[in-house]
Amino acid sequence: MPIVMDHRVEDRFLAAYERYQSMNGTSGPLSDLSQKAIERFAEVGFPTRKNESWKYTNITPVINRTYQIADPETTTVDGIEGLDAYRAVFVNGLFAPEHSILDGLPSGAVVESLHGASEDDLIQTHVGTYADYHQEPFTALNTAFLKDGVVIRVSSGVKLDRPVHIIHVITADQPILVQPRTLIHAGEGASIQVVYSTELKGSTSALINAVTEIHVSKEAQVEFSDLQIGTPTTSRVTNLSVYQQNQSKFQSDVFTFGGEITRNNLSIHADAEHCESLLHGLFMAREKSHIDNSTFVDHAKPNCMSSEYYKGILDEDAVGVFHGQVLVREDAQLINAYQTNRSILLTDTARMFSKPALEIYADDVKCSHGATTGQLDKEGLFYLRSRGIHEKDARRLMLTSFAGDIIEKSPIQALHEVIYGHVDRMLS
Amino acid sequence: MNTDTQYLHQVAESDYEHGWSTEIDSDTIPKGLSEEVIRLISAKKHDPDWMLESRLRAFRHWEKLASDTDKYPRWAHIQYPNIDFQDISYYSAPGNKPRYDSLDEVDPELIKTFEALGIPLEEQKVLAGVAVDAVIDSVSVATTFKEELAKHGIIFCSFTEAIENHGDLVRKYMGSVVPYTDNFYAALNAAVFSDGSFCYIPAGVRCPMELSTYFRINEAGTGQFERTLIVAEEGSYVSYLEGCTAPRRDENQLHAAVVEIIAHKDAEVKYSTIQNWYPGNAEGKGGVYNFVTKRGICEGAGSKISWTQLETGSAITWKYPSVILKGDHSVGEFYSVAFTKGRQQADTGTKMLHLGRNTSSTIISKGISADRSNNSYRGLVRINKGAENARNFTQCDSMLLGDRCGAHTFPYLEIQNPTAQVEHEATTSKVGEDQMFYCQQRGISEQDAIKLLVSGFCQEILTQLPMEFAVEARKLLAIELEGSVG
Repeated sequence: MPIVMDHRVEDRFLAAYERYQSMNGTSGPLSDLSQKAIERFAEVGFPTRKNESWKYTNITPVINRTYQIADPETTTVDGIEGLDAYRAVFVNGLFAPEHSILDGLPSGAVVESLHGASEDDLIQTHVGTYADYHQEPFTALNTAFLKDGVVIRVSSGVKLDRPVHIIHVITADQPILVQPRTLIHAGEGASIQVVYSTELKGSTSALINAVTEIHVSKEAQVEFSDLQIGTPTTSRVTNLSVYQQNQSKFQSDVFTFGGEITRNNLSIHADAEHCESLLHGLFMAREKSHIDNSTFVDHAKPNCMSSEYYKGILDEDAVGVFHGQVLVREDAQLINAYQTNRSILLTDTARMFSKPALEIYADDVKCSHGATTGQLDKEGLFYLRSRGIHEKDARRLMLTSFAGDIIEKSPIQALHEVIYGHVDRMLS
Repeated sequence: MNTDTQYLHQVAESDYEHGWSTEIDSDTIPKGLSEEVIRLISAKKHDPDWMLESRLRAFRHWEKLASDTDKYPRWAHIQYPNIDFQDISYYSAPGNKPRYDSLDEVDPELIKTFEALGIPLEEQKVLAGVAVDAVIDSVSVATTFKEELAKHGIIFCSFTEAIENHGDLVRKYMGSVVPYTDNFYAALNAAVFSDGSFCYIPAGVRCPMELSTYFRINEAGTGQFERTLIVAEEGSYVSYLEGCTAPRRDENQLHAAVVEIIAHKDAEVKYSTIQNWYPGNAEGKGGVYNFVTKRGICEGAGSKISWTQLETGSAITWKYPSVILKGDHSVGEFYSVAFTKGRQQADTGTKMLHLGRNTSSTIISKGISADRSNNSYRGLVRINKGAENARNFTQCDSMLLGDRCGAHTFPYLEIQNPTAQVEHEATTSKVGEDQMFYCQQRGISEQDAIKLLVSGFCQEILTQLPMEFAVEARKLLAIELEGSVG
């Protein structure tokens, strides 16, 4: 009798890993990490909806497809109009110095390819330290295939005058899997703004599995803006892991527009006192787009503050998910943690799932969360219409201002206009 | 050590007020669960064939669920060792089983038990105007006020009697809200339940008195598996009270009850609970495992179901009184106070499932944790696609009395209709220092101030309880806080 083996979807990724390793070699300082990560991935496999944190997002159809891992082709880069920034460009996950603009970086600030910097002690200490591949299968997969990525190092006391714009360009004529990796290390008292965006060339489907690790040292400030303009055939899983030290400040602004399935994991580990963490998000979706924002704030030490504010507008058959979790550990007293999620459904078929959770083990804390889901305020609409504004315009006005709350929170002025433009396109 | 901590230490050490056990001859079957045991329970209960079949069906389903310990329900924020279901006796009835017509015939030991609880049956009968269907362990031994209820056509009896005398009604409604396939413990209950209460309010009748049942776990090592079924016909109203205390025990006792409520057009059912089962000692040893499935369905238009609960007992509470808002304009309410101390763990909340148009639900939950306890609110609000103009308001506040306890909130909001208006708010805080200061500078002792503030924190919920119950609830909360407040 022949023995038929069950062909798990994970096995395809494991087989691809073997081939990938034989092509790219297994030596190097990160190969141990890569090996451990693939073992972990083989153990846990992809998450299903039975997994509590994936309850509302079914990723199976996306991972069931066949993807190729392809080398970069020659391409062009659009960038973000009006954004005056240093530019680090990656094509299909590999550093592309010819497209990057890194001249004029102040001394003490380095933007380089992970591949070129792999010998650095700093890399070895930090890569894979904050993004936990034990917990998150997608992080394990990214870590296993770790070959290149971007490293941004800002030495103590250095403050960057302009943001650093990381652009991932994806070019392919076949369905493609790209796994970008980013490490940002801000030294003591350093200050940096990062803009992260993806450009897709060609109409093929893509799965982007990005991992970003950010280390914010004492008194440092990091602002991270993630701008994702999806297409109906791109799916994204992003894991952004932040580690914060004493009196540091971190702010993230995540803007997601469309895409097939998007899952943004954001985890903040505030491991020292007087940290400030601001998490802002705006998601807009139409057609069958599915956007899932999952945040986890771990307050391990006292006297910290975190504030989360996520807003969503869901049109047509779109689905939105917000899963926020705040953990206040024992003895982490005097924590102020706020969580707000507001969503608007524009059609009968749009859906929103919100799960703002608090887990608190210290008594002297102020934690609150609020969630609302509904439609546009009828009285507001009436007011505008009574002033002679057409219903369509009134709706657009109200929705734009709803989104504006989040947009305006971004400290990078040049992004405001660009994002307002995307909001406008989504509403028309 | 500051007084706050002292206070909490005292709570932890304070004894369980209602901890004793009555010595009554019991008819207990040996430990273990098998098809034979189900048949034995069924035979003891003189079940009709359909009932036995229904038990066996549930048992077979449960067996499947129980075959793999990895599949035991583990999603709640509670920790406990796997329960050995073969180490439990599934049936225990007080001795001298015949049904009594008057209290004189009741075992005097039993009367003493009730008196110790502060609820003498006779007095209640005369003064409170409350019909008491007292369930000790698994068999109803006294049912009062039946005649008066009968005048209105109201049926209020033990489940056993209901199966015997009103089989058609039981058959029609049992399992219609909580089918045996619903969850692990609902399946177990459907297989082994020994008794419970049945309540039927005919159309247009407003029940003239509050119906109440006192449950007590009495026999060491016997879990109690009751079933409650309340059917309110069109335009009727009933307020149902359930209260529990249990004697102290060293081994964990499993309690897996099922409560089903059916409210037809324009009917209103108000269900109030005080739960004070033995919580275990300061180290968390002993104590009741309370895994309860409570659900009501607003079947008809304009119907209303309201759950109010005060949870102070049990080592583990796992309980989500829910409402399915099927009828248009139906209303669901959930008011809860959960107090945990020692090593108690509570994972409790509600589910509001909006199906009909113009339905509304309100959830107010207050959690208070002390010592090393963990108190979680877990609630689901689902607005289905067709539920036009649904409205929900949720507020869950947690208060922490001590720095070694936990307070958690896990709300789930699933919105599938744009006309829905859903709001959720939650706060977590400790007793305000400025509030304490205010009270103390007015000459109120620290302990009294905490009592006052906690009582104020819960006020919203306690006022929802029927009067007699509210008095008891306040007393209970004060006793629970006693240690903490010195």
